[in-house]
Amino acid sequence: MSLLWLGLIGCGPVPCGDGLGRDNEGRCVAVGTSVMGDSADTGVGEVAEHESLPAPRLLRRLSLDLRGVLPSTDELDVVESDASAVWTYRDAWLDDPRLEERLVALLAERWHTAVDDHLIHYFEYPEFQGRPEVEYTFERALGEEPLRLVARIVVDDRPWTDVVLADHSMGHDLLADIWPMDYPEGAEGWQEVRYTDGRPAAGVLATNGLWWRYYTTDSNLSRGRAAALTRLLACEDFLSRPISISAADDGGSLGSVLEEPGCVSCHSTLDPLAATLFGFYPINPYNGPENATYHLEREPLGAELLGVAPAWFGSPVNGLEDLAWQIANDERFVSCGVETFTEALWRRELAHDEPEDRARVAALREAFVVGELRVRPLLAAITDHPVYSAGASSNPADDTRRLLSPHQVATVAQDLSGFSWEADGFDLMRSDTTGYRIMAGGVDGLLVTRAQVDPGLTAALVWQRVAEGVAAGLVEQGAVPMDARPGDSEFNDTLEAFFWRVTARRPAAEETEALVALFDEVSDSESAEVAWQAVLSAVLRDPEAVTR
Amino acid sequence: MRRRRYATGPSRRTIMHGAALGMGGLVLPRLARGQEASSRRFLFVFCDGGWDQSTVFVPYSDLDVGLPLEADSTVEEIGALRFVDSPARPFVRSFFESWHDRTCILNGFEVRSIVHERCRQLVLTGRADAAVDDWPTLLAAAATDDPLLPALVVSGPSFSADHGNAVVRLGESGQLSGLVDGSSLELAGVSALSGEAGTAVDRYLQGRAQAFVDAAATERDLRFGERYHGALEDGVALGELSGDLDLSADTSKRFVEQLSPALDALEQGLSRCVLSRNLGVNDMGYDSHSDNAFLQSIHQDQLFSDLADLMAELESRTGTSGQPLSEETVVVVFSEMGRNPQINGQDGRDHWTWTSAMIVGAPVRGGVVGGFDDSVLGLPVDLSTGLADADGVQLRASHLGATLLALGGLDPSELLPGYDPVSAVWGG
Repeated sequence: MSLLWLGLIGCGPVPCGDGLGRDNEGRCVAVGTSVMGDSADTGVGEVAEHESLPAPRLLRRLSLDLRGVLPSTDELDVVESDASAVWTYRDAWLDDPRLEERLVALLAERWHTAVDDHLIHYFEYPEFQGRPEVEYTFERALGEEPLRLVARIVVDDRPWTDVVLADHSMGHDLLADIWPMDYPEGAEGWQEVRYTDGRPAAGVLATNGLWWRYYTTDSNLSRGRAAALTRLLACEDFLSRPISISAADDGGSLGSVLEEPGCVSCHSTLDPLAATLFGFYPINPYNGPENATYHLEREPLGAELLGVAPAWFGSPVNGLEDLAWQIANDERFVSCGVETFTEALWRRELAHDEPEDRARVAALREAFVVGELRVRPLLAAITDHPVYSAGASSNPADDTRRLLSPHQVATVAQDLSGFSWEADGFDLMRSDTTGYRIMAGGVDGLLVTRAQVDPGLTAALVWQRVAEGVAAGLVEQGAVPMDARPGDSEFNDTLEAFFWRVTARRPAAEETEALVALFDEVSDSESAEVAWQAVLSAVLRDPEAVTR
Repeated sequence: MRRRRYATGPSRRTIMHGAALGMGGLVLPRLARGQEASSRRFLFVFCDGGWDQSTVFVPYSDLDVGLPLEADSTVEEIGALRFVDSPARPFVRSFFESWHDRTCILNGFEVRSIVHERCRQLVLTGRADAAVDDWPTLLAAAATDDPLLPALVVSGPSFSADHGNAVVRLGESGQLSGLVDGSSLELAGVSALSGEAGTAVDRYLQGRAQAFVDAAATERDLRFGERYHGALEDGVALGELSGDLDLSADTSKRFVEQLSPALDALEQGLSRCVLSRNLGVNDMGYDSHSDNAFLQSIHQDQLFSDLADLMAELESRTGTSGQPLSEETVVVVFSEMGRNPQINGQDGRDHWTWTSAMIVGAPVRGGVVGGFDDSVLGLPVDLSTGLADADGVQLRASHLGATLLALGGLDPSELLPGYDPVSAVWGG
């Protein structure tokens, strides 16, 4: 990798924001925060506030988070000799095309739209009958639409407000004929599209994908959709507040029986917001064509059925486009963008009642605003922060040993050897019904809504089989010197380079010896080919390999 | 029982003990209820979608609610069980005829949400605003016999935090089986390592994990290393058992056949808890916003038929104590919410925060605990008698949880402060 090239295309310095300053390696650090050296040994339970990972391990974390792949050995070599190069790489990776796919995966953990099950199934369309191989693509073409719009806005360096103001969406070719959109003739996969049914320009608010996941019924009257919007775009999770039905009246309608002040306060926000969403209100939630189209004529139904005037947190709203403008100009929307990406990259929930976390969000928000609400500078600020780079922390809430997500396991495997795990059209590491997403610790968005933080049996078994698949591929591709034997420099160099690549740490002599012993043992009983598969898979399953 | 292949490295129990010593928050408090409670097993049947409490459990004719019983139904009593019977669902009656003396209907507890995804979390954890372990996970993590598959999730929701490593997923299509024997890799055209090569890698990795634990400089690394070591060790043990334990699942089969791997695991002492999702007839789910009476009725008929099969299966199997598995296992049947008493415009019923659950097992006293008032809101209850009492306690999902934890020998006062178990479930 040419650093000169990196220097030419790299992002400029990113403002750190209030409460943050740059350390001598150019990172943003919280004022007053002690960032200790790599070798500091404070013992269990006596770590500094944030003790940074060694530079190669930090590079690895950044690469996995931003590109979904391991750093190359060349990249690791560079930062080994110059720790500050980490940030040069980081800045370059914020321009990497693979960032878009990573953002889709990160957002899926929070938006919960990449589900295996929708109310409307592929086989209900004549176009897809007898084509079970399209099932997975159909499900993701629905559920990933809003995620891909957000991700594209980020990588195009457009402001966060475009998430609700964009006049277009992202469409998949599979849906080109069943959804009213101007999908480019002859194109494939995800493309920028505009709906042709006259729906308002409102970014994710005008995507079928969001509303097919967050469907509504004639009793719920879009309140659930409103709650999804406040959670995703304002980080206001009304559904986490317990409610109690304390007395029923003669009518027994939900609206009239909610008497607790807490319920009333939620519904005074949710009902007016729900009233803004009736252009997507279905007469039949199971009807594909009806749900594919925006119904301008149904917009007034919201106020009528809910008995409230449309509004966003008390501000009157006149139509979906106006709602989008209200959201775009809301402080909560900006802060929620910060929280969304901070929690995704710090791998923990922010504690709103902790002054420290509040200050961190405020500082990052400042950086976001200074960066004109572009997300890539925000990602830079988030990854600059000591919480991100921590290998140890005095705050037990900080996850300093982060499991690879199923998506990362899959993309690392694909990158290393081309390993791909599919069946009947399903990407098994990204699905659940027949696949391994939640078994590997991931989120399905329906039954499992938080990523696993500790290793368990099923995750370890998934890692094992992926590692074996990758190792077999590498052996088959001739990536290892089959004729070399332990003691040969080529053998040891290959082994140590692989360990270095996978773990971002040079193996100690005894670690190399242990791997050589493993090779010898398997080679004696099986063959050199199987021995290499064993050794490579063992490295890929190392405790330092399955975490970041 | 499981055999451990390697003498090196700690067992899961050692690890958990070590972790408990090092990390006080992970210690699960126990009740001094003796070995019986702490060795009790649990099988959770989650009825997805929100069942209608009035279809079986709550005779609306007992209330001044102005709502009739569903057509052709009658209120019947078998033993101490009072329920809504209907010729349209004969399996309900036949189940109660067989199991009324150890079936407790818990009526009138509130889940405190009407949104499916939050209700699932609330009914299984009592919380909607934080990452916490659900009841199966807590019970499984406290198992005293070091089960290999502590909380086996056949299908359905699962919530875990501190004890996530206790949760093992079978996979809705039985994917665990292919992971264990390596056949899953055939889908990628690759052969898994097997035989001596696989054994050598297992041994190497356990050494690596142990070294990682030994070198851990932070609590987080220690916890990670211990749990990874445990997972590797369990993977080896499960591989050794794979010839004796059929983990494959076939969702096209009858409920009890789908549960077969889980029942094997309970029988062999490999699991303490099993969780399975029941979606009713044709997987339609219980979310009956239209045609409520018909849908709830056919779902409950099938459910009770399945439960009868399940209980027969539990009776026919011998548990680790030498007694029938039915003597060791508590079956918990529940849904994430109840249904609004009012009929909507499509003959459906919408969501309701108040609901019912059913607990079946040897330690359970047959009967009905709790109740509803004329507005179909839960009545305050005397926890020791189970009778409505104006000075009693308003039941929440956490009371269900506290009851199950206590049945499992855990002390709910520490895990669920403020929520006492409904001791009437086991006779006060």
